[in-house]
Amino acid sequence: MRLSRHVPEVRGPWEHVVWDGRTVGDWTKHLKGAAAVVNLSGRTVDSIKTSDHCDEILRSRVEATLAIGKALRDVKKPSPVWVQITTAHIYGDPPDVVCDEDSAFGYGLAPIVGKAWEEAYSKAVPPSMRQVILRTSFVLGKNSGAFPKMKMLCPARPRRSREPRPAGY
Amino acid sequence: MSHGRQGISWIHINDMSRLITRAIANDAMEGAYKATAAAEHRRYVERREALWQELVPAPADLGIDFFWARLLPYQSRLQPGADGDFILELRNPSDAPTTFTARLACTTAVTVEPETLSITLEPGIKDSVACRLRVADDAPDDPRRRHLITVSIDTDGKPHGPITEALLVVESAPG
Repeated sequence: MRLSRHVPEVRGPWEHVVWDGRTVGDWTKHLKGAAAVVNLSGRTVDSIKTSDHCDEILRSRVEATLAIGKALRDVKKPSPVWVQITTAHIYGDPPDVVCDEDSAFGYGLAPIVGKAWEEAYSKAVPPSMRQVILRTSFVLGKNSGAFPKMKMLCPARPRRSREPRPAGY
Repeated sequence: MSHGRQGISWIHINDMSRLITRAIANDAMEGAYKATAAAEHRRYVERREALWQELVPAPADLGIDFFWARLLPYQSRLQPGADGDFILELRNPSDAPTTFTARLACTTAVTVEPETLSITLEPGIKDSVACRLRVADDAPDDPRRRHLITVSIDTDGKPHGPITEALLVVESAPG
């Protein structure tokens, strides 16, 4: 069962239900008997960081998480586990430090959003559920995630302006 | 936007999916986990880029070819006692003919023949050298363990350390 605000473009072995990512609605009936809850929802960060966008980035994550928590309160026997995706950017942008789970959180938009997101999760998750937070970094795939856009920005091959490319390059 | 020299933490989408599946299935997982590719792999990439920049005259540090040196297949499965054919692909990005000497190192369960690979490449030319890995008969059969095969590279006798790597799983019934 897949919940999202828009019908996905690709088909797959799932059923799809539309929700607003904000309020408890008809979708909550699908939580009954689910093997697990995986929450990936949040407005894309791939946009110009206007204050409106930043606000949407924050609210879409916090509100969706709280809505799921609220809906789960009404389920008699919630799933055994809730896997919550947040961001590895919660550690900020330290230039020289390699961060692990216990590192200090950083400063800036992403750390503020990340902290609010995880706070919302800890408030929302019913105590009976096993809690897993995955602080993900940039997800790259050949045809999905952030990679295709990055590829678009790069020349296909290293190029030197001065001389013609040698054979076999 | 930034100055363009910053690093980014990343994870492959397949690894991310596997991590989510594991978080659901493994009752021992609890709390917060950072989901990012291993620091070790990042160090290989950094060394590979540094060497590329050393070989390529400035200011050609744009458009680094991530795959100018790689051991293929990157991921493979072999049975205990089996042989596997690998190739080391190299491209010479410099302006001068360069001799690349590569040494493969692996865990004790695996031996490499030959131990040292050498190839001289003309400027801009890409080619590959073949080698064969043999898994010991008594190698532990563990589908969850990934044996790291590292490739240290010298250019014209100058050592640069491990530049690239491949992963091998030893499993009696691959599939």
